[in-house]
Amino acid sequence: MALPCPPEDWPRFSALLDQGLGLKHAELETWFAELDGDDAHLVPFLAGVLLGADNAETAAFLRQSALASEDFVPGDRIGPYALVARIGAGGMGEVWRARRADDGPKREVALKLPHAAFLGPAYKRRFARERDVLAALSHPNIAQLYEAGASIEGHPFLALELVEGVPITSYCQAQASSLAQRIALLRQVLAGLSYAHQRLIVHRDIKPGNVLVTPEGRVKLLDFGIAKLLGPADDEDALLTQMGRAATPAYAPPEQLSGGAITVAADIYAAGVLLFELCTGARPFVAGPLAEGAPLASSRADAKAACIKDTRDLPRQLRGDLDSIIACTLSPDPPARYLSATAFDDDLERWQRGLPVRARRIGWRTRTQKFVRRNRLGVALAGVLALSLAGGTAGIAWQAHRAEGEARRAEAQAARATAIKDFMIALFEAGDPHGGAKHPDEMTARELLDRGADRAEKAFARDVPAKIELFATLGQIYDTFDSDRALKVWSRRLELARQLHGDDDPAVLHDSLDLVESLAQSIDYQAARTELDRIRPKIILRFGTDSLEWARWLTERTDAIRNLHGMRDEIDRNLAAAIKIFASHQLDKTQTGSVSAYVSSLYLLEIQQADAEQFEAALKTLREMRTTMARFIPDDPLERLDYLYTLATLTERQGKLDAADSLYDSIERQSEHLVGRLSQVYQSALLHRALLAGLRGDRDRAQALFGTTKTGGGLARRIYAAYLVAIGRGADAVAPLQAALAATRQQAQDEDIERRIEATLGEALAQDGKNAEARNMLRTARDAFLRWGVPGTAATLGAEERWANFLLDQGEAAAAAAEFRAVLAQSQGAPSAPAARAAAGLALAALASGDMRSADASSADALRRLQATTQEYDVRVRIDVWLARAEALRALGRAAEARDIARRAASAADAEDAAGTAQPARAHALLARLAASP
Amino acid sequence: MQDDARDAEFGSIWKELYPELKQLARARLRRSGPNTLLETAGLVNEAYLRVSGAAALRAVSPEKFLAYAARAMRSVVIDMVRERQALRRGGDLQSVTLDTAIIDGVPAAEDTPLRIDEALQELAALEPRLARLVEMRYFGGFAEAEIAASLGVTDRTLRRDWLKASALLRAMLQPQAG
Repeated sequence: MALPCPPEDWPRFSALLDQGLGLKHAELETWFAELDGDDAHLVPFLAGVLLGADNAETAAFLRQSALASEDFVPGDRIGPYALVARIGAGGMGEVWRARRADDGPKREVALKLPHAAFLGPAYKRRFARERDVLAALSHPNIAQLYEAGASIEGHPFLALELVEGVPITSYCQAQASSLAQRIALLRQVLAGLSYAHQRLIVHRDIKPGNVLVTPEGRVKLLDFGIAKLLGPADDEDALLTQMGRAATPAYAPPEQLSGGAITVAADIYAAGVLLFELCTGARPFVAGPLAEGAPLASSRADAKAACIKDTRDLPRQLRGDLDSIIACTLSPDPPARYLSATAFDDDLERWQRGLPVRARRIGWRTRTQKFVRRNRLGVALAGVLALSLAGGTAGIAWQAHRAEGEARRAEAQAARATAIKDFMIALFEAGDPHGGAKHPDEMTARELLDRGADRAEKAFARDVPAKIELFATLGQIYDTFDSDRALKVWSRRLELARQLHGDDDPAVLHDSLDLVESLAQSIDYQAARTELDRIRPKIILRFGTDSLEWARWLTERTDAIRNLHGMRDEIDRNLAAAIKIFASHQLDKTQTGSVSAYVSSLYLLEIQQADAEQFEAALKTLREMRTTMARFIPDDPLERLDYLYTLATLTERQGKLDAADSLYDSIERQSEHLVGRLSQVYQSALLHRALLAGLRGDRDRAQALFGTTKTGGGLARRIYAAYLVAIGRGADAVAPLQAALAATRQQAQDEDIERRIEATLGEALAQDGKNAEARNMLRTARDAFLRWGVPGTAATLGAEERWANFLLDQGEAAAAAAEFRAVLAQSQGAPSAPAARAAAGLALAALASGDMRSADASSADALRRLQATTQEYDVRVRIDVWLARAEALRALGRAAEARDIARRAASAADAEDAAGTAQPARAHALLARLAASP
Repeated sequence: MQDDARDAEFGSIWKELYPELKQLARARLRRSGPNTLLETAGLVNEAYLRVSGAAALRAVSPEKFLAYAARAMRSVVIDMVRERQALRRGGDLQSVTLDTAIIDGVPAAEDTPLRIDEALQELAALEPRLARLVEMRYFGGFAEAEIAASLGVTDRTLRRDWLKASALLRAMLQPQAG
């Protein structure tokens, strides 16, 4: 390959070439002729380059058009559509405006024409699977997918709602939108996200280009889930699949960049980046994800204030809560972000209304389903403040609520209470000598509180008991909205108390117990355990092993270890001892620490019994808890709801599905009235009812109920995922279950949830055909249940049985048979659904080994067990049992009976399972085989 | 391109990036069968996403990253084309076409990438910026704005450069007259 000009002449050649390129073709001849001197001898080289093609052709090099391997023109017919005009092109294909050419609705659509080469060979199957799910997304803020298919010539196409709009960032800039207007737009984005997340659809590629705003100011999210539709789907490129199409790095969360699973948290993150951008006009990460640390909104405010109308208010508005909200969404740790678009939206609303936002809690984590608030017994905020301002003697009443021991020191109390009262009043006064830029009447209550906390250290430097008392109150107030700050204050208080009174002082020990209770509430079990260990010998020494304090210690200890494996025996012992002590004392309602612990110990016992499936005992304990609470705590409708909810879940687990359903119905009605439809308790009840409908086989009702739920949170996803697995659509449940598993391992509140999720996930993976992963997961779950679970319970048997079924599906009949027999042995003749399934599985295993007599016996046994079960169960179990019986009868040559049962199984499967899943396929395959043979 | 020259310039980035790109490109080819279109920009984005965790990359600006990536892609494509040619002697006819080639109207002959690579090697010493530009545009498939930012020139300068580079390449790729 030769250079167009010798190297020694190149510099001059290059300079002349620049000149020549600026000329028109016709002018070149003249120009060549005018070159003289040394330049003249370069003319042949220049001509070689410049005359080879004219500039127009050379300019064709610059053509920016997308791949032209298919050239579409207006008027072309693609499927039922006719192309009108091209509106965009990208690396993956083109987008055209199109309208229906047939008699269908005469609307214009955006027709996306991806290049077939990029879709991979299996795209048709993928389209078929995903299209229904995506087309069902119908929401004002989501650009609807109408249909997906391929033209006769084989051009794939996606017909989407045509959106006339501009990217959200451009829109806000052009309109010079105020901050409030921008937030309102973002909330529309969140509405669309929330809707889709409930249906387990993640967008995966949120960015301004995909968030358009119409001239009417409506937000439309484009390309929802399209990435998944277009992306590759084979196993060997699992990493690519997980990452989907190359996302826009600036909007992709860290876990996506390192190849992790994409969950709703990724969408939340991207929405957070968008929020940041809308507030400040710039992206949070300066040089892409490569840069360490992110300058948050407030520091950018100065630079970019010009973008937003209310510039005067901007720094103050952005400082504080909005910053916290954004920080929450941009957290590198997915579970630390808002768990759902709804939660994100909630906080924005709270910010708009000037209420405290949840994001302020550093390291805020989810609470469990438990609604019982254990340490807030009757002392309302207003009450405390009112008391403190009312007069000196009120201080004594205060103290009594908080720490039992100190009530003994009555003399000093009066003076102290006055001092404290004066302190509190001073917080509100003007002309404050301690400085501070703000006038008290401009400060929020929280700011006043913070001010009080800061001052208390100095103000009561010499009156340590007063400081201790003050911190108790401050802590209590903080606890109503910021538990972590409350904990800090209480820890400090304890520190002071220990210094003042010594480690063994009874009041100090009481405070320690209080602190441990709060630590456990904040799910900091490690710290709670450490503190408990430290005070154990002191408590025994000081109070003795039949004291209330010891009972409290035992209760807190139980709460702090129940997220660890293998603690079952200790827990049982602790609770038995604690409850015995509590019951034997005459408690009165001022002993709030003990009362709270008593109620908790009963609650914990109920959980233990429920896990061991001793349902009658659990119900009894629950009732005892209720009566105990009624003795000491003023009737709180929310506590009552919580009780009902616990009762409902217990009834559900017992298998009394109808009774459970009517309890949930009752909860729905009451909570709708009390706390509204968006409350956690209402939504949880709704979810359970949806699942119950699914278990009953009423798919339509289940789908409808799931459709009305509004949360996208952890419980919702777990329940919906469980439902999907039940109807055979486990493939769609894999990602959410993996996310749930990761979250559970991180948060570690209840040690058995992890293995339950593992069992469900294993099943989902098996349904998805990911056999290696399924094997791993199912075996892990089974081992975990055998090691730490309660033997003989439905949960444990279920896990073993799922493992056995997997082995059977994989053709390992002998191993499967051994497992099935183990399950049957453990169920000890008691009729139950897992046992029936195990017997059915054993029958199939026997058939695989050619042992028809065993198959006959086992399948008949399965039928009997099923009929004798009093518990209600997932109706699909009977389909499995029927199929096993039909297979056995067929092997024995009793074709007519076999056909009869198989037919029943097939019609049930059609009604209750999702289309295209394994169970109906098996049923129909069997019917076909029976039809073929005489 | 010499290995040591590459290493000297890019250091450990190269070690991270090259294997990723190669693996991705292979996977893409394997999936799509004969007459493959390699969507280079997409591949680079994906490689970036995979590699961006690498510590060495933290010190690199996105602009520089583009340059590295283009170099890597060039290497990958050349390697692959050579492999295909070697395979073909055994009988399996497959062609690798770069989508950028289709965009720019360069005849999509099978060995075009090789010939462009050769041409760039010749051009590199004399017109380094143009060579870089072609590398990023043709092998990397990046957009004009990105390339301009990476090279530190204006869009206008870039267009003029592109005109010049295209003209030179065209001349070099055509069969010799006479």
